[in-house]
Amino acid sequence: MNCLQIEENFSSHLEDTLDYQSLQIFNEHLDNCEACQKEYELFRESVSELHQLPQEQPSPDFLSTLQQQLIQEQPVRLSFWQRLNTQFITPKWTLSGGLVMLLVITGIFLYQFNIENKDNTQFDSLTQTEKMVDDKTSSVFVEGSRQRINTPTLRNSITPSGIGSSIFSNTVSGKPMQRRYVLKQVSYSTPITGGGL
Amino acid sequence: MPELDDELMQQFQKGDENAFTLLVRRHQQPLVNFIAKFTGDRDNAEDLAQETFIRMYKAADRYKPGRAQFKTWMYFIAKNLCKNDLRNRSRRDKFRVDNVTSNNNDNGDNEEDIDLIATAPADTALQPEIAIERKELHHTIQNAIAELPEQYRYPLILRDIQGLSYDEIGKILELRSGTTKSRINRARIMLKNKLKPYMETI
Repeated sequence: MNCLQIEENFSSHLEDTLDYQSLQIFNEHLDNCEACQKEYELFRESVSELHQLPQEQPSPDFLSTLQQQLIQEQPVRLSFWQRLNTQFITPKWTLSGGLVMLLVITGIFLYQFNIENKDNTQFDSLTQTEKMVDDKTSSVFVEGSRQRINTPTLRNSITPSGIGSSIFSNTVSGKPMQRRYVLKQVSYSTPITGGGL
Repeated sequence: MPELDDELMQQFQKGDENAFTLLVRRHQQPLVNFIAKFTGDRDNAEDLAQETFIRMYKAADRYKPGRAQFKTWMYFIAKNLCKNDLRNRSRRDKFRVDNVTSNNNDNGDNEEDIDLIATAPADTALQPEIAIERKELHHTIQNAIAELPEQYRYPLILRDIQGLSYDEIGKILELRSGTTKSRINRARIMLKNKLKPYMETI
């Protein structure tokens, strides 16, 4: 063992935990090395002084102060309504709840408005178509003649099929709409004369 | 009356508050001493010791008697609190004006001497020189401990001041047995080197 290895074993020697062989080597080295002897003596004294350091004592009111703090730390048992109040009836929750309600109401209003608007557009378009068809019964395909007399407004909106009946498929601004079937009587007896409808 | 800490903890877990009071009575002194020695601040030590017991009180449900000793658990919590406290304190100290300490040093020695005489133990009152010498030595040792790096300070205090076993220290500091032993030996050598100038003059 060199001096460094001897130093590493200071504690083991002091606490008497060295095995027999290591103890022999340690003692032998110490007998022959004055520097290590001196260092070990200082080491032993330092540890001894450490053991003799005065112990700090807690103040007499340590326990009572602790008990007071523990009482404050204990959770207060609240009833259901009190818990509800403390947890949910807070400014944060009130504000959030209000905002959610506002969003829901606005959503419902916009939805309703949209539906009404759509219905009105469909109704207007249908009424207009029906009216025009009523006014101008000839603006349909007539079976037999295969002649089509169109008016600009009805070009894309009237698609008749079948004999003696016309089936109209209405479209509004290019989008397919609910099909409305209007039964119209077509007059075969009156020939279409020139000079306009 | 149950003797073991574990038994008292089990009683406390069942709702017996007196069991916890008994545990506090039993361990308050070593805990305050450990924190005071580690932080070097006696007044703050009491607050930190109380905080340790409060944390133990709150976390009592999670304590498993077979797994760790009450004492090991207590020192483990205290160690973490000390660590945080020292970290916070070092942050605060960074903002302090340096010349405050230099001004204090001018008159510090005289005040210290007066303090040493005033607080000398009563049993050595007939030998005031010895009393002052002892007090001064303790003061020097305390300063030397405070100067040790944390990783060496903890095991040294736990072993040589608190008297814990290597196994207990290993559990508290989460170190292996070999590491614990070598750190304690290293800490003692560091302390010896710090005290050497003082010890050689005695």
